[in-house]
Amino acid sequence: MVRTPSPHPPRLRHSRRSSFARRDSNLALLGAVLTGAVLAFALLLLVVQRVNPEFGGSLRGATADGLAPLIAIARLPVDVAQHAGTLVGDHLRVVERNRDLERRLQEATKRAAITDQLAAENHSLEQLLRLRRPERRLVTGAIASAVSASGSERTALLSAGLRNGVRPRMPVLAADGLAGRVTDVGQFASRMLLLTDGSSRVPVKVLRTGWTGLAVGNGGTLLDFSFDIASGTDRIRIGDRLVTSGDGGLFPPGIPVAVITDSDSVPPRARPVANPAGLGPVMIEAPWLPPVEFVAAVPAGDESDLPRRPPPGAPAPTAPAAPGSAVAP
Amino acid sequence: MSRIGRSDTPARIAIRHLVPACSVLAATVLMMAPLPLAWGVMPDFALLLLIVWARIQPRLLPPWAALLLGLFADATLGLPFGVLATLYPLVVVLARLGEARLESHDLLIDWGFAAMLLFLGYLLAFELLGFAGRAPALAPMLAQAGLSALAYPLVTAVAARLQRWLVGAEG
Repeated sequence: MVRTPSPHPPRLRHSRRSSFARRDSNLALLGAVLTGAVLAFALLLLVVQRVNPEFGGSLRGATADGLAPLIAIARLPVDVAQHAGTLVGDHLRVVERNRDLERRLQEATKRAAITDQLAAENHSLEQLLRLRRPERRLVTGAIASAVSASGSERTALLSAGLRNGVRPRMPVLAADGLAGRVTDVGQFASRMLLLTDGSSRVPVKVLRTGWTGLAVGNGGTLLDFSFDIASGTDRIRIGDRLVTSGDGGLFPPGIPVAVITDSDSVPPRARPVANPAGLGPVMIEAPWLPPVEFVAAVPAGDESDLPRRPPPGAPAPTAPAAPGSAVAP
Repeated sequence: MSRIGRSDTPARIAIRHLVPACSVLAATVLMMAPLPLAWGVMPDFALLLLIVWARIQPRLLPPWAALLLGLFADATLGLPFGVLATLYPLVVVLARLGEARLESHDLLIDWGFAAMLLFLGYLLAFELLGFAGRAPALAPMLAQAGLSALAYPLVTAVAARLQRWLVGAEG
């Protein structure tokens, strides 16, 4: 940009060069300031998002609304191809599958009789104990279509939204097992986080051993099962089933989540039982435990029917004990 | 490019100014295609187009436009607001700086530069997502960055076709 001196009169050259140079440098400065402001604004958004993760949720939900019809159309050829593939596969394996199923049915019938007996016994025992089990409440059904183009998150769009009663956080269940949870809602559509997303954590337990842990998504096709070893004599085996433990109160307990496929790696790997790439119809349930609203209540007094040691003959107190000395039941 | 800025109706000029941004928007929506695949295996066409446009038509894609595109992409992909809104303007600025430094337009050099931007961008997006409280897994993101780098010639061809259309359309 530096020009060689020209034979023009110094006054003219000076004024022309300086005006152009000034304009250039002004423009460059303005551009740099604008760019800086743009970046600062974006970073500010990010900070707001960190402080309040709910920020912008409604806008994201509205985009889901706008995208849902587009995706429904774009899904058609994919669905047809999948369906055709399934049909062909089914025909090829129908005989051996039939034999396998018949064998399993016989085993299952035997087991079902025992299970019915146990269930009835369990029910009567629960009645005796007056155990309160929260009921699972179905909110709505929907079609889920997974979105796999982005490497940074594993999400799916659901064909139900605020109008159907869907709210963020609600668990989403597929036919085979747990699918994920709702993150953003729009009026007619919503977005869910799949189990395989890198930020997905589901409290699970191993059905066989009862060990608890977390099924952690890693962005791929499998889940990591992170757990504390609870026993020195047993270990995780291939084929162990992971079900939700109910910890945290969001997912109802006992829902199939994954099956261990690799027990040697650390942490063990598990394959989700509901294929995240082809969820199809799903159910959206309300969070399992109702939200707790704590109210001021009188602490429980001493148990009147228990023998009190210090003065054996003293009358049982009728007034509630001081909070510090209350005996929790 | 010399024909840009000739006598034109304002509508045509407006359309011409909108084409780069609109192509990035379309690519963002394309990224939402419901493919039954478990890994993020679609190249990041939006980011690639952004890099290409920032190099061949920097005046039609200033950083503030990249900010708006990033906000739209954040909303569309369901990311915390500010992740792509930070990434896109930064990538545009870096692409402009690179354009000013690199003299020639050799395909391999351009390709290598774009790949470097992609990997840097994905690493930055990984950090930003973690900062916003949605820490993702790194491996699939790097896989997608690699795949996007492979798709560079395709996206360049598309952008070149659009560019030729832009210049020749008014005839």
